Amino acid sequence: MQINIKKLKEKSEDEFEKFFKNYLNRIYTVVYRVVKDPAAAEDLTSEVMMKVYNGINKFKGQSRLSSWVYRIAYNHAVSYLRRQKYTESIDDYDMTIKDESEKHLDYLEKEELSDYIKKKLMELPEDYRVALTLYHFKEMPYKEIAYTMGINIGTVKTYIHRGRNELKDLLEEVVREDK
Amino acid sequence: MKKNINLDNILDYIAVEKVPDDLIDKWKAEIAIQKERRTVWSVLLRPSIVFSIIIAGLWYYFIVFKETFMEYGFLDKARSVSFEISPAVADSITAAVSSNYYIISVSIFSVLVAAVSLLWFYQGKRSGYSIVRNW
Repeated sequence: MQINIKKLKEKSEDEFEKFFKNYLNRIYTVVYRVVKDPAAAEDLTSEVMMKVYNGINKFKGQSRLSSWVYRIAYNHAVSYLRRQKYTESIDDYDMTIKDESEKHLDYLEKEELSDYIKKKLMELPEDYRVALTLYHFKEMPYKEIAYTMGINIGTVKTYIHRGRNELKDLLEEVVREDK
Repeated sequence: MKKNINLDNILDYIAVEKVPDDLIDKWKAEIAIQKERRTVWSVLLRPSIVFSIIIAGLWYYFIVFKETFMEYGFLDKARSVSFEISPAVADSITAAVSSNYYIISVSIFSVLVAAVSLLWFYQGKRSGYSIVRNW
């Protein structure tokens, strides 16, 4: 879908709506994969939408529009995490996931398997899971991921490689990867 | 029992979370509130209102420091210059500076300018011409 950036800069609500309808799930995903809390992710996504709407004139075309928006979302979520001093609640959350998931490993079907892998993905370090997520957005080359996360391309590749390996280790008991 | 999977396929499949449906509606509501707030501020920051406040401030400044200005002869000079332009302007300056009338004259002047500005704005809004948008 073609987004008219000129119209966005003129604050056309219809154009913004079109843009958000296409990208909102991904913006939310970036935020959620950082903060790991659906309610907070929803609030933060709303704030990101306002930031994008109010700051669209700062977009100078140095990257894709979507990457620029993901970068705002990522930075906003990371700032939120820093403010929250989040570690204790994350630990509790991870334990819950583990206990619930591992009860049902024998009869995991596709949806359940996806949920299980998603939960395991959330156990990865923040940088790894965000890099892996952006990588699997498909349209994002390494360069755009690097721009979004504010790191260099080499680091992005390392994060994706390590994230993938750690995820495989976490899934080792349940799944065997097809070669 | 282990399952065979293609990790990349599964990661593609789970890459994007589903966002709650009402988020765009919430955003629209937020935009409407923001616009309303900005309109109010735009009215308050209209040049004619701001200028009236500045003029009122200058007026008070002149009144408060009247003695000083008298000493340096600025006020006399202003009167003589304005008398050259029009005796009426000179008279109005004299009246405004005179201690009996300055508070009333400043108040009336400010209220008048603010009222005209608001009238101007709402008339423009009613006729579909937004003054605020054209600044």
